[in-house]
Amino acid sequence: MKILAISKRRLSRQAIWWVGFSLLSLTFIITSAQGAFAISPRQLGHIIVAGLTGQLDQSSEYLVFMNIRLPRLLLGVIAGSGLGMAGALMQGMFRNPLADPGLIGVSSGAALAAGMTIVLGVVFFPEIPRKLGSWTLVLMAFSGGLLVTSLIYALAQSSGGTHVGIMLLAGIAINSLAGAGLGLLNYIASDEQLRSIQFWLLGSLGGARWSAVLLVGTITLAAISLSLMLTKPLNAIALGEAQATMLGVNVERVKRLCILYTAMAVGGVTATTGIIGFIGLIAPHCIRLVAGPDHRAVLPGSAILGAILVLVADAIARTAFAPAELPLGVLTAFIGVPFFLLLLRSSKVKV
Amino acid sequence: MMNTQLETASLNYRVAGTQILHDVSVKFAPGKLTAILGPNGAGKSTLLAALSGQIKPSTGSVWCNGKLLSAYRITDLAKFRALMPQDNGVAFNYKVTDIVELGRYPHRMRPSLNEKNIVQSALASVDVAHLAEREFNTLSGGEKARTQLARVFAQLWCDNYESGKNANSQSNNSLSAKIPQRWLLLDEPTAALDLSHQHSVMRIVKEWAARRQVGVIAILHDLNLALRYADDAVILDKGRVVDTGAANTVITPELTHQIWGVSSQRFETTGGYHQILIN
Repeated sequence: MKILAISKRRLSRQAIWWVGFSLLSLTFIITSAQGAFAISPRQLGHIIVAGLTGQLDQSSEYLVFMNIRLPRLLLGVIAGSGLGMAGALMQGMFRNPLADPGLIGVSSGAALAAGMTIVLGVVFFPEIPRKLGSWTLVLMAFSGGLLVTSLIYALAQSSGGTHVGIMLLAGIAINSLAGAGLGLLNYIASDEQLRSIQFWLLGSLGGARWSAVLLVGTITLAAISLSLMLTKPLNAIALGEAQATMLGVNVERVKRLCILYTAMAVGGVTATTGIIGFIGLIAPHCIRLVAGPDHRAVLPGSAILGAILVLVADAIARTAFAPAELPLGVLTAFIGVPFFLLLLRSSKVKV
Repeated sequence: MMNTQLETASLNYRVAGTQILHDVSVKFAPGKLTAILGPNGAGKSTLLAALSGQIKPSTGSVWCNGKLLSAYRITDLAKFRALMPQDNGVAFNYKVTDIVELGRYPHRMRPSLNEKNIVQSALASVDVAHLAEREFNTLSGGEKARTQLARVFAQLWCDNYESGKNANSQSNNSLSAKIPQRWLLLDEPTAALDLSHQHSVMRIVKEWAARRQVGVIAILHDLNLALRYADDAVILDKGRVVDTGAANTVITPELTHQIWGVSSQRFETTGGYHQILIN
C-alpha cells in the first residue's frame, strides 16, 4: 500500500515545506473555482491579471472572486493553519497525541461567550448585531476563549509550576461546565437564536470579510511565527519536563508560550468562524506519520496540512448542496476522520 | 586554583511534613566514580535530585565548582552537568539518533568543532550504534537505558579533549581553564541491563571518570558492582549519611548486616576483586 511505503521513510523537514506549500497552492487554485457561483479557470486567469495590473474589471466573476471567494479562501487558510499549529503545540506540550487545542478551554470559552451574546445580548443590548462574523460576536467569543484559558491555566498552578496533568483534568471539567452553560442557553433561546448558536457551533467560513481576514490573519500569523521558535524546546520536552530542564530548557516559559500562542490562534479563528473540529487533532498526527515526531517538521507541517484540509472541506461545504451550505465543522469531521483512520491503520506507528 | 567539587552542606529536605534528607554533608570528587548506596526509601534519588538542581533544599546548600548550585542559570548548568533518569519514557516515536542528538541541545549556540561525529561516537561507546535508525519506543528496556546513557554522554562530550590526538598535557591545561568541571549523575544506570551490559556500562562510566576526569555519581543497588567499579561510596539510610569513604573499605559484611539486615561474607576473586556473597 502506498501510504505504508511513505510512513516507513520519513520526509525531511525541507520536504515538508516544499511538498506542503505545493499542495497548498494547488488546493487553493482548485478550490477557488468551486462554489455556488462557479468560476472557470480561464476566468480565474483574467481575474488574477486584472487584480495584479489594477485594471478596472466590473464583471460579476471579478466581484464575486474579490469580495466573497478570496477572503473566504484566505480565512480558510488562516483558520486551518492556526488550528493545525495549535494542535501540534498542545500535543507537544502535553506529551500526548490525544491532546487537542480545545483542552485548554479556548473553544468552549468562545462558544459559551458567543452563546451568551446571541441569547442574552437581546435583553441588554437589543440593537447590536449578533450574526456570525459581526464584530460584537467576534470580540465576545475571543475574550471568552482567553478568559476560560486563563482560568484553566490558573487552576493548574502548583508549587512546582504548571501541572499539565491537572491542567488536562481542569480543562475537561471546565469544558463540561461550558457545555452545560450552552445547554442552558439552548433551553431558554428562541428558535431563531437556537439556529444561530447551532450554526456557530458547527463552524462556517461564510462570514469572511476583508476586515476580519486581516485581523485574524495578523494574529494567527504572529502566533505561528512565534511558535516556530518553540520547536527545539518541545523536542526536549518529549524526554519529560525534568529532563528538558536538565538540558537547559525553561520548561515553564515554554508551556506558558504554548498556551498563549494556542489561545491567540484558536481564539481568533474560533471567534470568526465558530468551532471547526478535528483539524487540531488530526493534522499533527498525519505529519508525524509521514515525517516523524520532530517538531521542526510537525509544527509547520500541521499548519500547512490544516489549511489544506479546511480549504477542501469548505469547497465541499459550499458546492455539495449549492446554493445551500453545509456546516464546515461537520465536513472537517467527515473528511478528516476517515483519512486519519486510514493513515492510522496503514502504519505500524504506535500512538 | 578553581574549586572543582560538588558538595552538600547540612542539606535537609522536607516534603509534606516528612523529612527525607537529614543534615547531609557529602563531598564528591572529580575524576572519581562515587556510588550512592542504601536501602529503598533511604533518600538516594532525592539526594541525586538535589545534586542535579531538580529540587531545592529546605535548608542547607549544594555547591558546585565553588558556586551555589542555585546561583547557576539552567542553560549554563546543562553544559557541564547531566542526569540519566531511571524513568526513561519518551513521548512520540523519536528515533534513537534523535534522542541522542537532544543531548547536544545545550551546546547549540556554540557547537563543538567535531559536532557531527559526537552523536555517532556516543552511540558507539555504549554499543547501540546499530540501533541508530530504530524508534526508541520499540527498544528493549536495556537498549533504552543504553540510549539514554549515550544521550547524557553526548551532553557532556568534549571532543578536543577526548579525540586522543589533541590529548597532550598542554591542551588539557588550556582546556580545563575554559571548560568547567563536568558532572555525570546516574540513577540506577544498570537496573534494566543484562549481566554483560551491566559490566560494560560500569566500565565505560568508570573510564569517563578516570580518563576524562568527569565526576561520576551513580545510585547503585548491586554492592558487587560498586565494589568492583566505584572509587568511593556514600551510604544512606533513613535520610542520613551512615558512612563515606573508599568503596573497598566501606562495603563490608558489617555494613550489609547493619543497613540491609543481611549477613554476608567477602571474598577475593581470582582476578583480585573483592565481592560480597550473601549467606
